[in-house]
Amino acid sequence: MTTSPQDSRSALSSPPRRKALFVINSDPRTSPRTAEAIRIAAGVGTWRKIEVTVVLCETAVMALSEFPDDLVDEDHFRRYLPIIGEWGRPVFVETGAPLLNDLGQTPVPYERITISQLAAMAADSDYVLRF
Amino acid sequence: MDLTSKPIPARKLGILISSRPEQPSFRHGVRLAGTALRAGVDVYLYCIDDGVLGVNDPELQTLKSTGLKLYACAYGAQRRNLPINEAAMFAGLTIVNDLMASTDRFISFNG
Repeated sequence: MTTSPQDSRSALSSPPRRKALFVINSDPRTSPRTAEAIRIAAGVGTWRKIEVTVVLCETAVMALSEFPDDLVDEDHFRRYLPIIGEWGRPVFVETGAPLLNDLGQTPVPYERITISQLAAMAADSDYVLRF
Repeated sequence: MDLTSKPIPARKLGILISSRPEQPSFRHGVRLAGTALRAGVDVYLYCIDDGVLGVNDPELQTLKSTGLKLYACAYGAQRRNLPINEAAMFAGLTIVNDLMASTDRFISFNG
């Protein structure tokens, strides 16, 4: 029995993980959707079958606030952001988002990206979920 | 070789709905599920966040009786004091993870 190079490759390597991009732009000060999106991202990504990336846009950057006490469902941020931080990738924030300078000491590292970079990320993802 | 005798694997579609049942995007998700079912696709629909409020939606329940695999977020239902009953399979985020990893297409309606 012979195997083609393609067969050998598939036998030796697992398929690449699918990529899911969570784009969150709800205001966490007034909407529970931001906290719920963070919970979903952490819950999906923790199994490591899917490569989850989180991007916070507009006022959603407040999710990274050092003091989330005034955010809706603030316990979600305390509980689930550290899980996302364990994946070795930063949380991305929109460059120029308002309130970006008011975050204080963020619970996880973040990296600024432009809208163009966000568009490239979306194009490179299998799924884009917007909250 | 008789190709007609070879079974064609069913395609799988995963749908996530987080919008409230009165929002258009909830209805869009349900209609997509119905269209896909009629086309012979295996459809897995997961209601999460405010989407759990629509689990008893009559159109959704009709689709369930015709083959839709309907799931709902147990946590979301508990937070909203919704009964955990036969309307859907109430489960956790591991199901969402499985749907993303295992279906041929996955679409979310969060608007």
